[in-house]
Amino acid sequence: MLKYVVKRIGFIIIALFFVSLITFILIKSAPGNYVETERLLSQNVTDVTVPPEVKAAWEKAYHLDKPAWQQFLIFIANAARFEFGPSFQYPSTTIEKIIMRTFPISFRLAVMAIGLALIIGIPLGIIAAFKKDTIVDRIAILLSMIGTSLPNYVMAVFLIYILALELHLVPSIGWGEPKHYVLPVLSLAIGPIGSITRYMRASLVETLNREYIRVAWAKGGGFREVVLKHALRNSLIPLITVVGPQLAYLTVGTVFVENLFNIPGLGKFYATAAIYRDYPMVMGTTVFFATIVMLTNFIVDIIYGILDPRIRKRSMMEG
Amino acid sequence: MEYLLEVKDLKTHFYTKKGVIKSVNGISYGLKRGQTLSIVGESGSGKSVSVLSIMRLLPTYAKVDGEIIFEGNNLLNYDDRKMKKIRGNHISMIFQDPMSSLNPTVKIGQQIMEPLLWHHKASKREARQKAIQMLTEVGIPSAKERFDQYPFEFSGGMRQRVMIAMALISEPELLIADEPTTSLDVTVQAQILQLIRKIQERRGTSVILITHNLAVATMVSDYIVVMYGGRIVEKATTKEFLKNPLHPYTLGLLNSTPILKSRKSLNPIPGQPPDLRKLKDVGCPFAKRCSKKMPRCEVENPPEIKVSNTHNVYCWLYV
Repeated sequence: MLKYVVKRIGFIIIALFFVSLITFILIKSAPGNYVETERLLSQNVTDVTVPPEVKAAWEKAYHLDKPAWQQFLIFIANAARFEFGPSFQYPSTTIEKIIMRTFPISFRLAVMAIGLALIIGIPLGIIAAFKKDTIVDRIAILLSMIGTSLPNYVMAVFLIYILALELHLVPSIGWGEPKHYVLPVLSLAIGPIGSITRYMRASLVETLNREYIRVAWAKGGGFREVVLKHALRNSLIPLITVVGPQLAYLTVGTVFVENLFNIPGLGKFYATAAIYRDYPMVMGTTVFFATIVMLTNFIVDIIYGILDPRIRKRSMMEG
Repeated sequence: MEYLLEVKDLKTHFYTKKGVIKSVNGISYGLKRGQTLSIVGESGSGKSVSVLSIMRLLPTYAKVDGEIIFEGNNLLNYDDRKMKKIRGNHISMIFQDPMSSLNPTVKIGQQIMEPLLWHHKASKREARQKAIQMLTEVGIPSAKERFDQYPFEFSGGMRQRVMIAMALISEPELLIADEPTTSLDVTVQAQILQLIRKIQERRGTSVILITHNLAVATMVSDYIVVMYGGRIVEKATTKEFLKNPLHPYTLGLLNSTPILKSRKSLNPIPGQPPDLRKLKDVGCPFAKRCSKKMPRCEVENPPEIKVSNTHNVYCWLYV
């Protein structure tokens, strides 16, 4: 077990190095720069040229006068200590401080959305599996397909129109009160609801066909004993492999929804940084998101091993 | 002696999109208390379906007709709730493949206790004691430690012993064993058959043994039913059966069973088992492969010939 953990962490570190390298190369080869973009977008001037001495001083402050490979090494050395320095846009604070402040907001949105998706998706999947090939099942599949194929920002627009503009149930925009969570969480949850329903259904249908389920019926079990105790337990284990990554992708994928609803989460900062060519910010957040995704996958694998006695006991025997 | 189970004109037909499959087409037999009845036949003869019909463990598109009199009551009149009280309580079943008959993520002990707990026949503590006692009885050493282990820590033969313990823990009147030794090693096969017989003698349980192995059937049973193409072709006490086998199919089965130290060559039955979808309602199902076929065999149902009070054969040869 320990050997496995060390090995996995090693792979994560190597992967993060390459993610940083690729992001760095892409950024360096992208057209435009912060100084000009900032003048163009924020100060609304058409003449974007900057006095050369101003630009030189600014570049020196961000080590941009050094060769590219040195810049990269400086980034790596700092990133290893979770230090990304100040960004172009926010020179008075550091990127890690921004991440620490805004990431919890994105994460909370993602957790709420996944929670909602589980609460709706699991029962829906169970019903669909148990009523397989009936009209109930068909409707559940259709709904989940719509859910998975519609992007969350399209869903968000629909929801704003129906719930906010037509029915006046919730405010369409704003932040700080519980009611402001409704629309973003709903739009984020639709996709996972669809995929969790479909996955739950497929997994349960497969389990219900197993021989030990017939044995459980033969032992005198009813719906509660056979489906909920024996079958559900075994179909939920593979579901974890879906939910974990979903949570990570949702945390990252709040970008559109946060921009749409003007939520001060990390996703919004990430998107703005890309538009403004705020390279330190893009680098920092990309590496941070990559770490989150990889760590979640890692944790999911560990939990999977703990839940399945076959994997758990075998790894214990190996030491 | 009084019959524990009487099956009268049992018909199990599957209504599929490709047509009606008459897996069991009017069979009758009786099983006395404390006795063992073997149903012998090739795959597709309807022997498994006939016992699954007793347990009512068939998909919804199966239609069961006739009478199944168990302890004086017709089980076919029972609703799902009443059937649930029969299964695993008064009638238990063990299946062919012990490797897939146990839930891989649930401890052995828990699975053995379930019939008692689900039928509210014991408290958890009593059930635990009884389960450990059962494990010892079926020949599993250090039962107390084994109680907390998972199925993957048991060999095939050991798992079948666990299945037997699970089937017998609630002291059912009837045990149905559907090819219990087919997927086991030959040496283990004999052990399991011996175990079933020993426990049956000790507890007075009646047994229905489904097998395609005539030698196994003659070894352990009091009464033998031979099925072919969804019908019974011959039924007799084991003694009469061995002394005076009559039906051409029975003779064919006997001739194709190898006997150690015998120089007699094997004579397999020519042709293939029938396609149940194409089988006609009239005529003998075996007619196409029968070496003693007469013209009337294909157009008229064979008559029931009473050789003795306990020996019936369904064949035109003996009119």
